[in-house]
Amino acid sequence: MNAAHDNHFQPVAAQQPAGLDRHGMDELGSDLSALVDGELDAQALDALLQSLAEDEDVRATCMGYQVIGEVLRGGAPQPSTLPPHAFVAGVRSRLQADRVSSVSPSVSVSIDLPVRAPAANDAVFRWKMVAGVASLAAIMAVSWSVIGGAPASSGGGAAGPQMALLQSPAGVSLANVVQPADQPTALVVNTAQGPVLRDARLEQLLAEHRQYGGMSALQMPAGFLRDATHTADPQR
Amino acid sequence: MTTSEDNTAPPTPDSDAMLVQRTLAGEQRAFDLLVIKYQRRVERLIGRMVRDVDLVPDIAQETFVRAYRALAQFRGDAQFYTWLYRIAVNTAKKQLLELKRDPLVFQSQLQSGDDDETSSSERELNAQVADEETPDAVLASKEIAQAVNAALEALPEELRMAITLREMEGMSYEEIAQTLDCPIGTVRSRIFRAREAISNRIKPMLEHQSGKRW
Repeated sequence: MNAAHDNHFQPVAAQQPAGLDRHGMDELGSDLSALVDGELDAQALDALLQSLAEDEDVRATCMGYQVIGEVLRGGAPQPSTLPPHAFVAGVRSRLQADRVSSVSPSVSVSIDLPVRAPAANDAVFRWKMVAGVASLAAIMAVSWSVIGGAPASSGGGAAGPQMALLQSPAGVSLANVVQPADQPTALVVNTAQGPVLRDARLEQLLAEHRQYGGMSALQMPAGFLRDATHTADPQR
Repeated sequence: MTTSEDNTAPPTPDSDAMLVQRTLAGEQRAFDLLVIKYQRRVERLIGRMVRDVDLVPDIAQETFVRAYRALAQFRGDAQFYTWLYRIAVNTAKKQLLELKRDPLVFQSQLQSGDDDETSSSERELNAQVADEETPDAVLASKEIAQAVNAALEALPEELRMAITLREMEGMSYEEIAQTLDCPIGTVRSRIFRAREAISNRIKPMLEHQSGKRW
């Protein structure tokens, strides 16, 4: 079968929009038909978008094709709630309202902003000078504290713990835990794994926090906690 | 009409995906086409979920507005209608929740319509909705169905075969071309002319049946 043979059957001429001849209508209808089937190519889509415009007949034709599909697929056709042009217009107006509402908040904010009354001393220049000098002094004071404190923090280890003690909310308990070296309260016990500290506070701490005792996340005994406090001579 | 395309033509990109791209590029008409194309399907879907028919156009329009807002998120992994379907279901559920009304159909019943609207459960749902239509609307629906079937029977065989394979078997143009051993352009032309012939038969019935627009 070829295309020429196919042309023997001609459908009854449909009502055609002004400006479109029979050939144009066939092209348009054919494009619409392909669109309904999802088989329209990009070039034909361009032509269809140009023709579609506000043409109610084209939309009605498209709907007609869909009704035919519904019937042939075994379903009962149901009336549309709105004609296509009214439905599309409704969607458009909602989108338009959506855009307007998304823009309007910034407008209302700009209107609602309170206007500050000018200060009584705005006109006096020396007050502005005073404000400027005060700002400069504040900046210098901050700079002095930052620059002046830098060598101390970078120079020795003493400042570090002090800062930690000052900043820690648990500073008091931390001070209690860290004992001076000249007051040993820990007992060094020689075990098969080497010398281990036995400190009463450490034992209490580990007893209270058993989740840190036993096995670690690495599935190794948590003896390293005691090793970490070992103050004896290094093994190597 | 184009009839010179060969069977080995590369597959065309999905029309819906092209329309989405055009819409994202700022072409409003492209989105209008998507609305026109899917208005009926979305309305039917929502009509199955809500008891109040008056809510259908409102929820359907809201569905398209939400789809428009989220269009940039459509990646084309699924069919456009599958994506739109989910938006429609969620929109309907949200609206019903706000109105504190129960959906007509359970979600489990709707799941089957996700992939193929011609599933048997969807037909049952259509029948269920048809039962709730007014007698006039049911009668009009039957008359239209009879007219379509009569027009189909009156078509020349090649046209009838083409539209049957497309609408009833769900074949693509390429598959129909292979089945009928003819160019894709010919398939497209036959399907169009079959639709035109049927459409001309039912057009007067679609204009205003029972005061409703089909």
